[in-house]
Amino acid sequence: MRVLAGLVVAGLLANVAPAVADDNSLSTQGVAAANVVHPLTVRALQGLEFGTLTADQIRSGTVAVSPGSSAVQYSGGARRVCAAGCLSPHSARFAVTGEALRSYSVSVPASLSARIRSSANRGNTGQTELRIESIRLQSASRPDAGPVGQINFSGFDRFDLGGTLHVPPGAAPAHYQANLPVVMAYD
Amino acid sequence: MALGLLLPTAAHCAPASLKITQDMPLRFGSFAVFGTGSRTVQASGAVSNVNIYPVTSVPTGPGQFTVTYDRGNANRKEISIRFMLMLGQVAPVNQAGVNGTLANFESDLAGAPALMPGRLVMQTMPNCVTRTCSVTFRIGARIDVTRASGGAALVVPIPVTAILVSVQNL
Repeated sequence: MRVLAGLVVAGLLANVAPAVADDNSLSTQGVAAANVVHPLTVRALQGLEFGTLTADQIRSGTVAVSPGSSAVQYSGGARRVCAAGCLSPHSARFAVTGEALRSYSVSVPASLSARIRSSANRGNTGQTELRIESIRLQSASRPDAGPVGQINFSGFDRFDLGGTLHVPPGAAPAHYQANLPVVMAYD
Repeated sequence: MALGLLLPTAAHCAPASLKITQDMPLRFGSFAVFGTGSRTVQASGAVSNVNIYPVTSVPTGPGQFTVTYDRGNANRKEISIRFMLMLGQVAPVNQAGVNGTLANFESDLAGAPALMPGRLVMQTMPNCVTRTCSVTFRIGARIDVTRASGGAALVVPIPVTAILVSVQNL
């Protein structure tokens, strides 16, 4: 065996010759890179509210609340009523904080069930569950882009959620409520 | 005159050399962390997270290095090159309220699944019959992140040294 060269084992190489390497060692500065982004956080500023309404005993109806506007549409047997202190319909609003200029997307359920939270008439016999469908989202940063948004230079954005409440005939008079889960992630 | 005679010879027979280059950085990708968390990118490319919220659009991957031996001439004799690799000390980095520390280094080098900073790892390039022969290997690690505020693009230097030990004619 002919052993040639060696910086570390130089002492062993006194009698070896030809192809001795002149550059015995070389270092390189590799790198590891990680981009730690500001976490995406969301806070509910106000809930999705369909207001106070009446339901027809025969016809079904709907109440549609548009995201990002105060527009409310009633159809069929659903009609707005407003006595003193009634609830006004409005879309839900969420405040978002995160990494400046980074895009995010929001996932919401396609539909929800609102159930009776409290009732003035115990022993209701009507429908005790209302469907909320066509849940739509509009972000302040990208109002026409659907369920997506972009954090602004200051690290903020917000989005509104609207939907359509389906009111079956003879719905029980009560206060209905649904939890609206929102899942967000950076793109 | 003598110099003129020597130069052509030198052009055909450069000194043998060993070099190491980084082909790809060790990429931990992009993620969010509340407080503290860690991400491991293995030499195989597998990724695991603890208290990490991934941002999936940014690729991850192990660091890739290549050690190249150049015999310096066109000789085609078969040789075997032994060299040692050493991972240097990797210091923590802190930027804009985000601290990152690398730990648990690993590689896909034969016989060196774990790499310890400062410890030598012997490797061989067998059966080299071309002017240059090389070995490519990958390095993985875990990054421990502590975030006090905001976000940051962390760049952690990874010093790697290759040391030629021997060139054996076969």
